[in-house]
Amino acid sequence: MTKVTVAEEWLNACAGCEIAILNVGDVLVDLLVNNLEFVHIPVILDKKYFGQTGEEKELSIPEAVVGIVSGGVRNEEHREVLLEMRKKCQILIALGTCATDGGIPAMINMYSDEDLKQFYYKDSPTTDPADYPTEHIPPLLDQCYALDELVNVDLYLPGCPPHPDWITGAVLALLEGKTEYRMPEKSVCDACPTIRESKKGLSDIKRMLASPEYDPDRPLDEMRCLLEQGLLCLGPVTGVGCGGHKGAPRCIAARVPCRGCYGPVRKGAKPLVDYMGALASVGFDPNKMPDRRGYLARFSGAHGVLKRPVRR
Amino acid sequence: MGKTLNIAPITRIEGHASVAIHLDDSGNVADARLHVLSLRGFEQFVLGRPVEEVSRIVTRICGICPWQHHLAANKAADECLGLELPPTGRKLRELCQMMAYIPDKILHFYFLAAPDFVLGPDADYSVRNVVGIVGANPELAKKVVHMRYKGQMMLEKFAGKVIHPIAGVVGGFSKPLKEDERREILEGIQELKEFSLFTIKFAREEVFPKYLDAVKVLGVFPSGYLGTVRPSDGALELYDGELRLMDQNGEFDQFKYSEYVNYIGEHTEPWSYMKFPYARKWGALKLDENDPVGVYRANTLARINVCDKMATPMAQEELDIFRKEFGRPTHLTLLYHWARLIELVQACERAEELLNDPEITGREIRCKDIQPRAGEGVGCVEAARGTLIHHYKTDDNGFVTMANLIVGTTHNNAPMNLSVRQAAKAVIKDGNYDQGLLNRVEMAIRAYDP
Amino acid sequence: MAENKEPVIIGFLCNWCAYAGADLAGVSRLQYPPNMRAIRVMCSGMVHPNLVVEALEKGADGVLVLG
Repeated sequence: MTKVTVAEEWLNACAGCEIAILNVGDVLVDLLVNNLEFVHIPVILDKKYFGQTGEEKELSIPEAVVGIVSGGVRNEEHREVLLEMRKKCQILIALGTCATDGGIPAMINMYSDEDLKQFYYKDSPTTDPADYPTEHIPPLLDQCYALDELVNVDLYLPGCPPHPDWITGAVLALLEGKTEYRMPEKSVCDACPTIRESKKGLSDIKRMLASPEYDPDRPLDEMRCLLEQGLLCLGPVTGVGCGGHKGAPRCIAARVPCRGCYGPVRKGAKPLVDYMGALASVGFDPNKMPDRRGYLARFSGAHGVLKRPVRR
Repeated sequence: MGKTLNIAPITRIEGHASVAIHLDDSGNVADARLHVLSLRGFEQFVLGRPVEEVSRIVTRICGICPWQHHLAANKAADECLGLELPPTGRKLRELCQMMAYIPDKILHFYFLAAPDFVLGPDADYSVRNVVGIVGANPELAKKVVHMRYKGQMMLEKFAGKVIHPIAGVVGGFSKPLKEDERREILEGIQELKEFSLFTIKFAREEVFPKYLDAVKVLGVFPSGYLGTVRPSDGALELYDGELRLMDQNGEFDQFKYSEYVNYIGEHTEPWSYMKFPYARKWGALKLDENDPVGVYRANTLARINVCDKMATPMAQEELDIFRKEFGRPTHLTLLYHWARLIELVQACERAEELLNDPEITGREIRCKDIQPRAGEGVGCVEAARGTLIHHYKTDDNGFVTMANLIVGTTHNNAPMNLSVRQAAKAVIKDGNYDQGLLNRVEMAIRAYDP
Repeated sequence: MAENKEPVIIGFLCNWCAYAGADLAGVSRLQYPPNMRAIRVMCSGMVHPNLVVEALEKGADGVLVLG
C-alpha cells in the first residue's frame, strides 16, 4: 500500500491541536509506519520554507495529498503559508476551532491593535516604554481570520482541542478514498446525559463563582442540567463532539459548564442570537447575562462576528 | 554585507519563530537573531472578562503547557477575590500540575529533542525526527508513545480535559478525587516513575556522553537564573513557593510573587514581537553573548541551578550526580535536557506523595460564597518552559481591568538570542555551512523548549 | 479605522409604513444621506434577529429596523 502524503502547518495557534494528534495514541505509531507520510510538519519534522540552508527566496512547502492547518490567520506570514498550503495540497483540513471559527485568539477582533500595542509595549507595569517593533517581522493583518475567509476548506474538524476520535475518523475516511467527512450538526446538549426537567429556572443566572449541586459519588446522568441550575452553560448553542463519538461532553464530565469550544452548532448559526432564546426558554432574563460577547463569541470571533469599536 | 540565511520555520519547537543569520563578505557570522513572528494579545482580550473565566481563556497561550497557565490564572484570580483554598482543593491542583508535567517531559525528550542526539545532528531531515526514532528503535518508540499516552489519558479521565483544562476553578477544584480513581492513578504514576527512572538512566549513560563535546560548546554563555523554591528549605518547587533570581555567580534574591515588578523589567527590540525580560537590578539589558548584562534564564536548567536541593529523594540522587559533574550554577545550555529529566523524576515522586496523602480524597474542594470584588493578584506556576507570571486587577464586579503576563518562553527570549548568535558563530566559519551545522544552531534553541 | 469613514447602515423597511414613508420622502424631494441602504420587507416583524446580526457581520456599521 502506498503511503498518503500529509503536510501540516500551524498558524495563529497554540500547539494544542498537534498534541491532540499525538493523543490519537497507540494507533498513531501504526499509521505513521504503514499509512501516512508526513512531508512537512514543523512540530516534528525539520523541513524548511526557504530550502534546508535558508538560501531560497520563495517560501515553499512540498506537495501533499492531505494538508492539515491549525490556527487562524493573524499576520502576513500566516496568510502566505496558508495560500501555499492550499496550492500544494489536494484536500485541505481546518483542524481546531481557531482554523474553523477563529478560536480564542480571534477575541482580539474586539480590540484595536493600537490599544494592544500601547499596553504591551508601553503601559504594562514591567515594560520599559518603547517603539513598536517593525523590522523583519511580518505585519499583523487587520483582524484574526478563520481559514475559509481566505481559501477554500474541504474538511472542518473543530474543537479546542479536537477530540482524537474525529481526527482518526477523518484520516481513516481519507485513506478509504473518501473526500468528505462531516461532523454531526447537533448541539452539546444532544450528547449531554444530565437531567433536564424543563421547569422554569429557579434562581438568577450565576457566574462560575458558584458551584453546581451534585453528588460526586453518583454518575453524571444523575446531575441536574447546569443551565437549569442557573450556571451559564453554552451547550445549547455549541457543536457536539468534544466527548468523541460516544463520550459525554468533557467539561460537563468535570462538572463545569460548557464554554463553546466546538464553535457554533452548524455553519452560519449565531450563538449570540440563539442563546438568548435558550436562556428565555429556561426562564432567565437574557438582559441579565454579563459579558455577552466574551461568553458567546469566545471561540467564534472570526467571520466578522466580533468587531472592534469604530472610533469617532 | 554578504548574504542572509533564513532558517524558517524553527522546527521541533512549540511556537513560531525564525532565525536570520547574517554573514559578512568572508562568510563569517556578522549577526544572528531569533525573530518571534506574531503577537496574539492575550493581555488585551482578557480585559472586561469576569476574572473566574480567565483561567479558561489563557490556557490557549500554549497547548503544551495549558495546565500551568490554567493554574497560574486560577491562583491570580483567587488572590484578586481574596480566597483561601481548602487544603484538598489546593492539593488536587498540585496533583494535576504534576500529572501534566510527566507526559510533557516525555514528549519533549523523546519527540522533540532526542532525534538530534539519538540519530545525530547531521542525519538527514527526513529521518531526524520521531518517525526516524521509530525506525531506529521501534520497541522503545512504542513504549514512549504508550507511556506518554497513558499519562495524558489518566489526567483526561480524572479532570475531563487534558488539553486546555477546565477542572481548576476559582477557590479550588471542580470535582473531588474518589478512592477508586486514586488507586488507579497511583498505579499509573508508579509505572510512569519506573519509566522515568529508566529514561534518565538511559540518557545519562547512553545519550548524553556521546555529545558532551557539543554540550560544552553549543549556545553556552554565563547568565542569571529564575525559578521557584520552597521557602522553608530552598527545595525545587514546581507548583507554589517563592521566586528566586540568581546571578551568574550564584548570588540570589528571593521574593514573593507580588514583588516580581521590582525585579523584572521588559525591554523591546525593533525586530521581534516578543519582549525581552531582564533583571532590573543588574542594569540595562545588554545582548552580548560574551558579556551579557541583565540576562537571566528560566525553565529546567534555571530551576536546577537556583534550588538548594530537590524536594524528593530519588530526584535528589540525580541532582547529586549532576552537580558533581557540572557544579552550580552551570551555564551549559544543552544541559537543559538533562535537568528536564531530573525534574521528571521529582514530578513522579511528588505525584506519588500527593496520592498517598489522605487529604487528597477529601470532599471540601472549593471555597463557598465567593463574592466578586475589586482586587489584585499575582499567580505564578513553574511551567515546562519557565516561570509563568499572571498578574490581574479586577473592578468591583470582579471583571478584569488589567492583565500583565510574563510567560515561560518570554523569559528565555534574550538567552535564546544569545545562544543562537553564540552557536552560529561557533559552527559557521569562512562560508562553510550545511544542514547539519545549521541544525546545531537550532539545537541551541530547542534546549529551551520554546 | 480611518477618521473620515462613512458608515454603512442597512435599513429593513416595512412595506406598509416605513418604506411608503421613504418613498414619500423621495417624491417630496426631501434629501437624506445615502449611507442607509434600504431593504423592503413585507413586515418589520419578519426581520429575524439573525438577519440583523448577519448584516453586522458582513460589514454594516449599523442596522435600522423601521416599521
